Amino acid sequence: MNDKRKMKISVLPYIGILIAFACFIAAGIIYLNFPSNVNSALYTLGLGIIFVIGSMILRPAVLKEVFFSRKTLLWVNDIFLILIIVGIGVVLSYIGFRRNFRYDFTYNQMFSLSGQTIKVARELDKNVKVTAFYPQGTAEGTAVEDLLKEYKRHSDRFSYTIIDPVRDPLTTRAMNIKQVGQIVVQCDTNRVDVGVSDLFYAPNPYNRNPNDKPKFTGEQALTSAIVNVTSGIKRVISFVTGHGEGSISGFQGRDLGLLNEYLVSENFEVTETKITDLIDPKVSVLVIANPQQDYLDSEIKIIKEFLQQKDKNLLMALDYGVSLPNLESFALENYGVLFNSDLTVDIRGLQIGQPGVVAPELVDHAITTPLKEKKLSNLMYLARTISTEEKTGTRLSVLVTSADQSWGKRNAVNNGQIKVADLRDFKEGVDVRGPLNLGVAVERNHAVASGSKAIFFADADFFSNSLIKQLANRDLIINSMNWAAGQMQMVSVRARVLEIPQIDFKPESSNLVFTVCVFGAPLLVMLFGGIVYMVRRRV
Amino acid sequence: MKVLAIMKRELQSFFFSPIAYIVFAAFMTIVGYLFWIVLATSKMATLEPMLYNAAFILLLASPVLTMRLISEEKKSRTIELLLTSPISPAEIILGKFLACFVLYCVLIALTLQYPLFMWHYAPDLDWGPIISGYIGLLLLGAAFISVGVFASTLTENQIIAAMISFGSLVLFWILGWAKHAFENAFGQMISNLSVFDRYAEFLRGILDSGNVVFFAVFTLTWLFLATRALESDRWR
Repeated sequence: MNDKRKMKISVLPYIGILIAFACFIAAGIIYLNFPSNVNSALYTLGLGIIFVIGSMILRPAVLKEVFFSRKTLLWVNDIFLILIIVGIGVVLSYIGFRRNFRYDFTYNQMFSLSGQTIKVARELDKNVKVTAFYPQGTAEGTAVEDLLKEYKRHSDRFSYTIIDPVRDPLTTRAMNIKQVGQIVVQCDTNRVDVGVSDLFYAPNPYNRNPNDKPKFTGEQALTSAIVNVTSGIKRVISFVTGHGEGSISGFQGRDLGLLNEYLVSENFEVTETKITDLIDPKVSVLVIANPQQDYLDSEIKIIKEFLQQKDKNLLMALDYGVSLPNLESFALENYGVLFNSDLTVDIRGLQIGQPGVVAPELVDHAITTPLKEKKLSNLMYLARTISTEEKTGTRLSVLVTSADQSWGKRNAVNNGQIKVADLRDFKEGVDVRGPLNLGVAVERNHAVASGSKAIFFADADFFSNSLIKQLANRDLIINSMNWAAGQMQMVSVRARVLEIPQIDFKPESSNLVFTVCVFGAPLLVMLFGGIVYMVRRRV
Repeated sequence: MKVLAIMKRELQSFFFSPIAYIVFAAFMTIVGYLFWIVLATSKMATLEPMLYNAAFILLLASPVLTMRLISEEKKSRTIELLLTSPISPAEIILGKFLACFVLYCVLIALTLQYPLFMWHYAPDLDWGPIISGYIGLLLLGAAFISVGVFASTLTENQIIAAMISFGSLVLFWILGWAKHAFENAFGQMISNLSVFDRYAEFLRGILDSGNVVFFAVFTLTWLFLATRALESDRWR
């Protein structure tokens, strides 16, 4: 009985020390996890100290025995070594996290932010807070969080929170959230909401077009919202109508509905202008795109007066085959830009059996350099050519030219039809050898016209619905708009849209894959294993 | 050289027994079936689901591969011979780890048929995420095996070693959930230890040096722990 009692007494101090240890660890965890509840951590710590004191009362040498026995020293030695190694590991992981190098293996750098977004994120001079409302574990929420992480990597001024509307209904209500999946972008007192339809594109279930696939368009929407919330200014772009121009709300091939959508997502306000009286003074960039009838003198006068004002800019794109003497002479007289009536013939277009197709070359300029750096190219169709003459008070820069192996075809139209067969031959003395200008930018100094800018393109098809999605056409036209509007931080390469690739997997292919992968290959391995086993047994 | 000798011995014991081939065939049947079912139902030209499934199957399979590494030596009392021989515990651990890793690499190499099949049906297949996914799978495998080796040093019972290894791996797989449970720095700190979150980055096609360092540190730390655990057998 006495022995049992002795044993109990001898074990108790050690149990007390163990409990004390557990209390110290628990106190640390409570302190880290509930910083507002410091008292609980202190009580637990106190409890641990009481256990240590109690153990020492029961056996004064307990601490010495626990901490200074040979075995304990060996344990301590090991624990220290392990802690040092783990510590080194933590430091290395932290350095690896902070000073990391990332390489995106995907074709077209699908999971890296676009140049435009990185530029916007890095140039943030105010704190931007993003709150996304997504339930836990959803694929959409994960896609959005991955995107937000990327923004965070590029700017310390950017912060984000993901709130589960089910778990935190109070915050959800307080922030006036109407829809799960909504994102709120805040800067100072400004707030912009991004809806689910801006982030994800779901194809129409009744539309059987195989190219109509689900897409994640979050980067473009979020970058636009950030620019909007930080700048607080919406530039107005107005398209002149009334002369057969493509409609900004139309979705026919020659209309500009897609461009309109892209401009809105770039934070522009897009309007239409009928030049009858005065042009709205809010307009920042006036666009004359592919008119089919010439402008009246009175209209030219209104445009001239508008462009004389401060920060009023012009983008003009005239297609081949339409004669517009008033408009062309306006460009020549005021900007030194002459629209020729030649048709640009590109040998690469001829090689693919599309004589009207032109693959222009980009020339170094603020508008085109981001595209050149990414080795992007453009596509034009039935482009005319531009000649230039330097005007006093203006600075003229070429943006795009045709390739070296191209020429300007004179008199390509006969009875209103383009003579395709004639395009193949370069007529010496008649046709003009390339490279030929297809796009120019003009800056007029303050003395002449309040520092206004103008851009001229010899083709309007490349930003119409039919071609704007081709290659980097969208980037070229939107960079031009941003440059003209003075939004230099937006001149870059647009975010790519993440599409889910699909394959045509027929039932017979499915059977083949099933047979080989599920039966054939494993059986082959088993067979090989069996042979090895039998050979080994015989040896 | 001693490391290579141990590795060679281990590899021979793996490949000269039918167990390795049975594990290979079982793994290929399950992963092959999952590859086929995902491809046939989704018709998507991506190997992300297959690589994800393969990683999960390997999480289940790796304790089976590693459980006997040290436990068997302990049970058959050959560990005393090893520990008294002029081979250091670190060399024993490294040799056994490398042998198991080679076996794992063979297992992974057997799955290369799936990208080739995919490429056959989708010639414009994006190879980037596949390459990074396989890099991730190798790093993940090294991490899995290191945990398994450590578990095997703790006990002479192979089943217990497998359970410790499996439990630890599952825990490291699901640690990422903590960030949703604790929406604070503590949760973030715990979720940073999640091997799945790190591996998911590779599956997307992103090679981040931070993740590579994490897997390297993770593997080396567990191997170090295994060395210390083996060393402690001398004085415990």
